[in-house]
Parts: sequence; C-alpha cells; structure tokens
Amino acid sequence: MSLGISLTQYVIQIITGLGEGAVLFLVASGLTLIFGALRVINFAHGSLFLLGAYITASIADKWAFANWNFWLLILIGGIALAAASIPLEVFFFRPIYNRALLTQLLVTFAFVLVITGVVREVWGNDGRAITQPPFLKGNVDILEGGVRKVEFFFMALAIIVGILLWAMLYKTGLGRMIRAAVSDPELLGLTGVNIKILFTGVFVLGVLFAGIAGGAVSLRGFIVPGMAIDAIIKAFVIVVIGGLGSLGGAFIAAMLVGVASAIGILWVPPAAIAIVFAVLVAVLVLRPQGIMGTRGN
Amino acid sequence: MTEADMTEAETTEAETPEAEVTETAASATLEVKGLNAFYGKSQVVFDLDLHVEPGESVAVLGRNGAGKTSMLMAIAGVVASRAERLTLGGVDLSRLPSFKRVQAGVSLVPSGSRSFPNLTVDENLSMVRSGKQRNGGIEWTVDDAYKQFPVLADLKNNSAGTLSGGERQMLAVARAMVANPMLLMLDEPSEGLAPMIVKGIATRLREMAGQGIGILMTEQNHRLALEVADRVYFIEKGQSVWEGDATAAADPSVLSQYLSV
Ligand SMILES: Nc1ncnc2c1ncn2[C@@H]1O[C@H](COP(=O)(O)OP(=O)(O)O)[C@@H](O)[C@H]1O
Ligand SMILES: [Mg+2]
Repeated sequence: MSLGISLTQYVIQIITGLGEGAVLFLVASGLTLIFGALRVINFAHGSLFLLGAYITASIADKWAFANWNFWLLILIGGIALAAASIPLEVFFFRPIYNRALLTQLLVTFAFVLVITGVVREVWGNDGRAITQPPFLKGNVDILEGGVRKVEFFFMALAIIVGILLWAMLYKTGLGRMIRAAVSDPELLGLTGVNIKILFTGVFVLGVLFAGIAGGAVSLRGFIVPGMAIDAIIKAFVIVVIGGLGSLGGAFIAAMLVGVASAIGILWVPPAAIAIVFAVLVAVLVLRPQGIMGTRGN
Repeated sequence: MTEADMTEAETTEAETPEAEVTETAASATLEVKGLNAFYGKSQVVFDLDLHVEPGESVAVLGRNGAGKTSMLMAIAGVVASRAERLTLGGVDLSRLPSFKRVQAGVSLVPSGSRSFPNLTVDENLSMVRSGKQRNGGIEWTVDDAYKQFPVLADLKNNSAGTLSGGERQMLAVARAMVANPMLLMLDEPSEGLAPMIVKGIATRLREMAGQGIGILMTEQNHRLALEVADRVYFIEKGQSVWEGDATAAADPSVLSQYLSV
C-alpha cells in the first residue's frame, strides 16, 4: 500500500497522530467522566473545548506564552472555563439528567450552536494565530522530515493528566464517590452523599479537562472554530471504542483514532474521518463492549 | 379487606426486649403521621400513621404493589411526600433532602441487595457517611462490620459485583450498620435469600435492636419479619389496615386475609 508514500511520511504521520490522540484523550476523558457519572451525553463538550482554546489564546494575547508561564496560562484558561460552566450545570444540565436521550440531545445541541456562535461572533470565523512559547516552536527532525515539537508536549501532558485522573479516581474519597455514582447514584444518595453537589463537581471537572485540552491545542499556534465539531465526533468515537466510562480504554482508543486519522490524511485527505469510522466499526465487530468495557454495562 | 378491621388490635408498646444493654446507640423515636407519597401526580400512600420506638422492630407487610417500598422511600426522602408529622427523635425530617436524612440517623437498605458492584467490598463499606454526632452512643466502624460478617472480611478486596446474593445482602446490611443509624429501614431484606443467610441477618437485626436502634422493615413474605418484629402493620393500597403485635399478626387468618393473593 505504498501509493507513492514514503516510509518517512508514514513515521511522521504516526507520531503526529499520537500527538493528536493525546489531545483527543484529554477531550474524551472529560466526556467519559461526565457520561459515566451523570448519564448525560454532552454534545457541547467539543464546543467547550473550542471555547477553552479561544479563552487561553486571549489570555496569551495579554501575557504572551513564554517558556516559563505557558502551563500556567493554560491552567488559568481551563479554570476560567470550568468556573463559567457551573451555572451551565445548575440551570441547564441538572434538569435533564433523568430525561429522555432526545431531550438531552436537543438541550446540549442548543449549546453547541450558542457556544460556536459566540466564538464566531467574538473572535471571527477565520481562525487566528497565537505566538507559541519559544521552546515549542519548530520541529523535531525525524528521518528526512520533522514532527512539530508541540505534539510531543501533548503526549507528555496526556500521560501526566491521565495518571492524575487515575489517581484521583482510584486513590481518593472523591474518586470513590464518582465511581459509585457511575454504578448507582440513588444508592449513593442513600449513603448520605449530596449527589447534586457531587454532580456539579464532576461536570466542572469534565469541563476543566476540555478547557485544558483547548488551551494546549492553542500552543500549535493556530486555532479555528471548526475544531469543535472535529473534536466532539472523534471524542465520541473514542468513548465508544474505549468502552463507556473506561479511562484506560479511552487512552488506547484516543491513540488509535489519532493515528488512524493521521494516516487517513495521507491516503485520502478529504475523507480522513471515514478511516476513523472504519476503526470504530472494526472494534465494535470484534469487541462490542469496547476495548476495556465490560459486557452488559 | 373489610374496613372494619381498621379498628386495630391493641398496640402494646412498652415492650422493649433487651431492657438492659450496657452500650446503646443514641435512641430516637420515628413518628409518622398522615404520610402521603406521590409519583408525580399519582398518589400511592395515603394518610399513613406509624411509629417505631428505640430498640423496637416493626414490620410493614402487604401484597405486591401495596406501597411498602414507596413508604420507605418517602421516609428516606427519595420519593416525594407530604406529612402532618415526620420526625426522628423530635427532629423534623420532612424538609430535609435525602442525604441529610441519612446524617440525621435514617438509613435505608433498599430491596434487591444493592451495592456498588464496581467498587471493592472494602470501598463499599468505607465510603459510608456515618452520622457521627451520636452523643453517648456506640459507634460501629468498618472493622466492627467485618467482625459481624467475617465472610466479608475475607472478600474485602474483591469487587462487590462478584459476590453471591447472600454476600451482597450481608454487605448491604453491613453498610447500613457502619452508617450508625438511629432508625434502620430494610426493604424486603429476605427476598431471594437462602434460609441460612436469612437467619444470620435476623440475628444481626435483633442485636442492633438490642442496642437501641429502631428497625422498620417491609416484607411480602412474612418469614423473617415475624421472626424479628415486635409489632406489625399490614398495608393495602397505600393505607394502613391492621396494626398489632407480632404474635397476633402470626395468626393464620390474619396472614391469609392481608397477604394471600
Ligand atoms: N417509579 C414509580 N412511578 C410510578 N408509580 C410507581 C413507581 N414505583 C411504584 N409505583 C406504584 O406505586 C404503587 C406502590 O408500589 P410499591 O411502593 O413498589 O409497592 P410494594 O413495595 O408494596 O410492592 C404501585 O401501584 C406501583 O405501581
Ligand atoms: Mg416493594
């Protein structure tokens, strides 16, 4: 299957795909956290990711990404987005937790339109450039080509965030409550836990991940409004492939989807997303419950 | 089914079984007067009166669909309700959200031996929010629960989803125990369990009652209920139709009138 594509191109695309997968993992981990505990399918998650990118970019306009502060600016952007999402949860998501899927879809889709509209209105349709921190500019040379340095930063970030999230879920009391909410929220309430507050916390945490992912992506130096739809589609595929609610599954699936779409760009640029769906179908045929999902869940 | 039976048998109250226990839980009476419970607009419990004294075991019996589960869920604050009076130890529960009722001393073991299957046995027990502020009362810890249910200690690190039905019900009772309730409510605790397991659970419940905890349980099947309960209510279509002590309730004619289908 050479199609005149060199080994170098394949290697570069695979590595770039892993970087893309790392960003997707950050987006998908927030999505799977929210879905797992709150049972709400949040189509606006990709739009929140987009908003996170633009908020961080605006912060970087003011203070400029430097080698020492870029992580701080990303964190501030993520926290700002997470804080703004508190009223969103309280007024719009809380009422739809136990509603039909269609209701959830309509409400969350309304926010896709609203948020995307706001981004286009405030920051324009054409995307915008951001000055990168100096040490993330340029490429790392590989064979006869190069991979953007930021892609390696994304990989490192995904690993760190993944470990922190895992430790939070499995080593802390809060994580234990979140996992309990995933299996039986009513019983958790009967255990004396304030479910409303817990759910707000989980939602805000999921949005924080979207915001951090968005902020990280702005380090590529260029962001466009179309990122929202691309991210939400791929994040959904990742959550399904990985097994609903599974963190490890989401990580593997994110890498798979990132690499598949990067290779897809090499083969059939306009239809790269089709490759992602081909991976989805293949995984679901082989393992209907997803990579790490448990049957009957 | 005759309305005449609502003129219930004498309620014998001052009948606390183990009168002198050295260590007791802080005690509190559950008082329910005129309880109505609703699912949306449809009302399923009507004007129910009920009380559970400290150390007393009370069973609510009735056919499937009579409203037993709804009644417990209403007291626990999960199902919407309105009551003239709903207090535990004088504390008004009716305004509290369900998690605060737990902290106020109400613990419900729902039917079906529910636990968190994706958590380990130990995590299931250690996550319980104990109502700590029991001045002068005993306090059960997770270790005490393991002493009461040694099977669970052996399964400590297994995920609860791998337990057998009996083990899961022990876990459910152990969870309620470490919540240190003043009122322990159990919805059909013997449902689907082997007689041996039911016996063990009955023993635990009697011990808890002996320490001053009030017990309120529902059953369709009266086996465990009549073995543990001091007093019994029968309910039909969401209304209380008979009240009396357990010996009177065990009368075959009473049982067949209110429980046979
Ligand atoms: N979630 C619900 N929504 C609407 N009606 C319900 C619900 N749960 C139970 N019911 C109705 O409430 C009545 C009492 O049910 P329930 O309390 O479960 O009785 P029991 O526990 O005695 O079998 C029944 O008529 C039942 O159909
Ligand atoms: Mg029932």
